[in-house]
Formats: sequence, C-alpha cells, structure tokens
Amino acid sequence: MNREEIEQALAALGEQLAALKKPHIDLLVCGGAALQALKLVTRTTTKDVDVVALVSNSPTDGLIMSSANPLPPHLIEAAKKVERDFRLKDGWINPGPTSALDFGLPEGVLGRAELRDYGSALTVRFISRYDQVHFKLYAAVDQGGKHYQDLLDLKPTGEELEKAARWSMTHDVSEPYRGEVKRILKEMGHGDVAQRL
Amino acid sequence: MLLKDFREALLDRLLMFLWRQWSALGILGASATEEEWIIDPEPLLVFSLELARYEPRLFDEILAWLVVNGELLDTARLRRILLKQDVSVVRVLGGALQWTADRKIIYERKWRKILDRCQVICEESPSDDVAEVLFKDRSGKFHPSAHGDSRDPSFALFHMNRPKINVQKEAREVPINACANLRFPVRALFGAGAKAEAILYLLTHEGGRPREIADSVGLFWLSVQQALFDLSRSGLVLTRTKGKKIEYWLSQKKWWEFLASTSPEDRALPKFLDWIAIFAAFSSLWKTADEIAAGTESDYMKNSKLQDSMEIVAREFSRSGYDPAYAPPSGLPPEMQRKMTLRYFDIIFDLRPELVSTLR
Repeated sequence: MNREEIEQALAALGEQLAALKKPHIDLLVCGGAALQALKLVTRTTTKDVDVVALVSNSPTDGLIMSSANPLPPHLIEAAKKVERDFRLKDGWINPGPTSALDFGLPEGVLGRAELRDYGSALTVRFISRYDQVHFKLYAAVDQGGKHYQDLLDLKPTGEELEKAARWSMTHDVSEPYRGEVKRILKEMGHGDVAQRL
Repeated sequence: MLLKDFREALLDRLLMFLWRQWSALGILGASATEEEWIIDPEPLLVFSLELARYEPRLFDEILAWLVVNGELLDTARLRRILLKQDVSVVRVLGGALQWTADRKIIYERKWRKILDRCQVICEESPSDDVAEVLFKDRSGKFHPSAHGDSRDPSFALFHMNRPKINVQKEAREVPINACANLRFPVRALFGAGAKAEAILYLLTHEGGRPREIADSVGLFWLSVQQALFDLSRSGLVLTRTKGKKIEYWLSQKKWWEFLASTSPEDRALPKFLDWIAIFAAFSSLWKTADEIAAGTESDYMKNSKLQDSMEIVAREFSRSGYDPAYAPPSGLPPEMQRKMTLRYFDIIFDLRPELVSTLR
C-alpha cells in the first residue's frame, strides 16, 4: 500500500465504522503505515497498518492505551469490507506490534502522535518521528533489513538514538541484545552513543 | 451509469421477473416461458406486494389472483415470512389480505391470525397521522392520495392510502399442469402445510433430514418432523440411516409419474430454490439501490453497500446451484459494478437481450 492507498483504506474504514453505528475507534499506529502517512521515509509502500494500541479516554486518567489484540469485533467487521472493496490482503490492519505495550511505550508517545480523524467513527494517531526512531532501532536490531533502512531515513540524532537504545533495552535486557545495539549504533556512525550504553 | 439510472434499470428487471412469475401462476393468461424452478407463492407474494407499489397494474392483478387462489396459500409460512419484514411491507400485506377477506368469507377465517399480527405490528410502530400513499412512480415519487369515499377501506385499516380497487374480471385458477406450479397440485392433495412442503423437497432432492428440510421450506422443524413421520407410515415415503441420523426419501420416478405424468429420465425436472432466502436477498438489494440512489453517502459507501447486497443474492443463487462466476466480483469501479450487477440479473432471470433492450 502506498500513502494514497493507506489514506483511501482508512477513510473507507471510517465510513464503514460510521455505518455500523458502534462505539468510536481510536488507534495508535506505528510501522510503515505511520512512516508513509507522515512522509518520514523514502520507501513508498507498506504491507499493512500496524496497530500498537487502542486508545480510550478515561474520565479519571485521561487518555489510556490498551492492547489491540484482539481488535474490536466491529473494527474487524468494517476492515473485512474494506479488504473486499479494495482487494487488500487478509489482516491489512492488524495488532501485530501490540505486545510492545507489555514493557511500556516511550513516555509521552500519545502526546507526540499526529492525530487524524477519519469521519466521526475513527481516529488514528500516527506515532511521531521521535517514537519511530525507538521502534525502528528495536526492529533493526531484531530483524535488520528494511527496518535498518527506515532508521537511516529517519536521520536520528545521537541523543535520540541514545534514548531509543535505552528504551529498547528495557524490552530486551539480555547482554547479546545490548551488544547488537552497540554494534548497529557504531555502524551508523554513533560510536560515542554506543560507548555510553 | 448514474445510480438513479441503475436503480430504475434494476427495478425494471425485478418487475419483469415478477410479471413472469405471476404469469406462470395464471395472471394474464398462460406464461410464455416455462420456468426451470418450482414457484414459491408465499415469498413471491410478499416481495411482489413490496415491489408492485411501483407497478399498480401488477399489484391489482395479484389481488385478483389472491381472491381465486389464496385458499392454496400456506398461512404458517406466510406468518413466518411476515415476521422478518419491515413495517411498511406488513402494512401492504395486511391491506392486501384484508381486501380479499372483505370479498370472500373463507379468507376472513384463513387470514385472521395473520391480520391480527399485522395490526399489532402496525400499532406498535410509530406512524404519521396521514396514511402513506401505496403507489409510487418508477422514480419513487408518491401518486396523488385518494380522498373521501374514493379511498379503499381495507388498506386504510393498515394506514395505507390507495384508491378503491376496480377488478375488471375474475382471475384464473393456477395452471396446475406446469412443472413450475407443482406446489399447487401437491397442496391440493396433501393440504397446504408441512406434508406438501416435505414432499416437494423430497421430489427435488435425493433425501433429507427434518431439520434441513424445515430450514429450506421455512417451517418449524417439529412440524416437518411430524409430517415426515406421518408420511412414512404410508410406505411411499421411506427412511434410511445416514451416519447417525435418519434421512427420508421417496422414489422420484414413481412420484413424478404420478404427479406430473413425467419421469426424471424424460425431461429436466424443475429446481427447488430457497425462494424465502432469495426474495429476502432481492428485497435487501432493492432497498439498498433505492436508498443509495437518494442518499448522501460517498460513492465508496454506496458501492460497498451494493456489493454487500449482491453478495447475499449471489450466495443464495449459488446455494441453489447457479454458477457464482456471473456475480460481480468485489473491487470493481462503480460504473462497472452496476453494469455487472444488471448483467447478472439478465443471466439469472434468463432475460433475452431483445427484451432487456425494450426495458427502458
């Protein structure tokens, strides 16, 4: 899906949700779809829309995030229709990265996210460039490839990388992981940051 | 093709199909086409009354037919179908049945329970002070309302406004020798009800269990089970074990020879279609087409809703053995989707190109 197709699919999803007349859906989205939507990378396509959390507004606690797995049934129902209408692949919108919630997302992620309303029934919060650096560093260490390329495209500063590295090491506290983070940082020309970890 | 044009083209096709079904049942003399399926009068009646609001001539021909042939309708099936209808359809059906009851005393008793039910549904639904006008033109604009003594009192009871009905001549009885009308001689033999429906099902299937037969014919499964048990005591409806369950069956050759003087080897026998499901799908499609033509939603949503309805129609026809390949696939541009939808109906209804070209 390219940027235009993502927008088209999310707009259609918003309409389908509105037609169902069910509770409003608020999503925090990361991955390629967020990169595309915010025009942060050079690559032009992504396979899916990765939902990292469901967002709701609590009268006492303000905005809170909860696991997106499973996605709400009416979101699945609406997404199936969009999948059929635009011939998208099964699971074009999915809660793949929602396990990242288990160890916590970077502090202030919701405040930095770019919010877009798709009609009255759907809000999508695309995580910011700063938070993308966190996710992409973690993914680049884990899988390399396109994630490493995305990380380079984000052109992170040393300070951003250090914060991202420290956050990612709370998700994987092993020594081999720490070593791999340092190696990647050095490859990116940030040996000083690697040394401080 | 504009949605408005699509809506009218679809309406034309559905009405042409309905005219053909009713012609096969004796309206306007003999039908020119021998249908390849067994006609199911109860769902046909309900859907026809809904759609014939755009075709007053057909509407009144159906009323005249009902007076002559209504005795062979199955009230239990009609009641079950009625429960799934919108209140607007209930009002129209209530008016139509009341009109026949006001003309022939036997219908007063036959329709009593259904008419009572219609009254309850109508009273429970909010309605305007002014009765709704029954007939509309093809574009959906209401006909002028009837006033004073010119209003029909039977329909007025159900808050519908229409002029008094002037039946020119009595309708004909259903031509019972046509294979498509097999339901009627079977009902004449066994009475309208579970026995007749079970026999029809077994005449067109290799066998069946009570619950699957009940689902297909739209009757309560215990009634069908009792009917099959009673029929099996004649020795002409048989049982066999299939897995852990008992299946009923009959000798199609003997029964067809007896009922229609034909044999499964001599000619293609009519198909048994789940018309209750199919007409419900037509109704859903028509409501969608009508709604989206006037609606303010995006083109995408209109297209998507149309696709939803077409999927139901195609699924019901494919369950009855029709090739789903003709159905419009998903993801088509709106213009193409509308054309493919109309083409699908031309194929399913076997509408000849020269007929279609005269539709508009």
